[in-house]
Amino acid sequence: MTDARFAVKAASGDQPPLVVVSGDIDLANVDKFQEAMTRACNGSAALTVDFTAVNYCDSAAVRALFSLAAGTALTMVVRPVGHIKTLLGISGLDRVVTVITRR
Amino acid sequence: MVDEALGSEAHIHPGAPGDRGGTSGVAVAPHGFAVRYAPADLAGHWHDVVLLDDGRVGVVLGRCAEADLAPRCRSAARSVLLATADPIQALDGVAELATSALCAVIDGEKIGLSSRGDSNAAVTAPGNEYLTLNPAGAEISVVDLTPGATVLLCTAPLGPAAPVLDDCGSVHPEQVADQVMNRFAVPGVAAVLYRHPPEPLSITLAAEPANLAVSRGRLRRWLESAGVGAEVCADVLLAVGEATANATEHAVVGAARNVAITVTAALNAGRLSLTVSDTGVWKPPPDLPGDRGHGIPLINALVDSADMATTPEGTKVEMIKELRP
Repeated sequence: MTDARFAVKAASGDQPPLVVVSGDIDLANVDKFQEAMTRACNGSAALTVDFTAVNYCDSAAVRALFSLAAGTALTMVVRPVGHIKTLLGISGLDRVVTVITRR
Repeated sequence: MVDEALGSEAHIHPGAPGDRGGTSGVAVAPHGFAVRYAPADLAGHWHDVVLLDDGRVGVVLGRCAEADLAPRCRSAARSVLLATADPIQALDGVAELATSALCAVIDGEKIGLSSRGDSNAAVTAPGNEYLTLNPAGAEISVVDLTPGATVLLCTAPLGPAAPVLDDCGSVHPEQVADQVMNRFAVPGVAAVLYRHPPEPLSITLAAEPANLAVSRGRLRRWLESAGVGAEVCADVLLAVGEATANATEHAVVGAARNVAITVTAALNAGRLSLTVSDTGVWKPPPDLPGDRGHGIPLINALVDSADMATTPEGTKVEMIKELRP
């Protein structure tokens, strides 16, 4: 079974709400990922998603992120190298969301 | 005879800064090799990995009484090996310079090896204990390399480092090489570790989302045992993961029977062959930009080649990933 944790932090001051994801995301748990983002958003116009602790994710996660980015200003934090960066580039998601790299 | 030599700056400029008396060897070794040398007090130790023709690979290493002799020794051994692919002739070529030397040629499923002095080698098959290879005098010993076998070749006696090889087949060869170096009490050793390609992998599971993590985990462990580096491993897991997820998502549609997905992986001469096949009916990806249908462009970007064939029995995606040094 695919394991991931979604830690949700509410907005505070001028910081948008934050979802810190760790583990793997694929078809088996992408719905939970989408739920966590929607819950975190809670009407906010912006959301930050931290992917630096994501071990594996594929285009199922990309679809969820595209769908959220349609109505929310999305910022993603990712590691500077690795397959997630590749995934964002090839899918074109990096042109729709703000990407911040951090080790 | 000579196909290609693995050149490095060290061969051309043996006296380059930082090179402590000819301690270095290959800059880039072919896939499956992990090369280590303890830089301190390594005067006189040398090693080289040489690509020969017909896909054979030669390994030669040893040590000299004086550090100044090491670069000469290495290039002498290398040139004889390139010309003859014969371990005994390579060792003859350095007999007057080296106090101890060892030479091996890996040829398909066999390794032929000869040593002089106390330079030492050991081999282990997955699930087994190590076996020390000590060919006497000018003899060559030829040993079969079983799938996933690990060979360790050292300029010094293996001693306490050899047990690291016991049942090490599932451990990444770079990690095994690190453990080997940690076991040597005295600094000053050059070691070359070789992992033979493991048995091909084949996983067949029902096309269910919960099984994606299962096949991914098994493929990850197999790639590690095959000595695939972290970056390539991530690319391959994503490419295979996309093909598997596509099959899981779409192949089920319209299939009149339970759908199974088979993932295979094989390593041959530095080339990874991967397949994902299903017993379902293929549904072409909807081309809605920015939404569905990222899978196939992604696969094409992550591997060197990808082909998809659909028959009434199901769909098969074949991918090739070259393991460049």
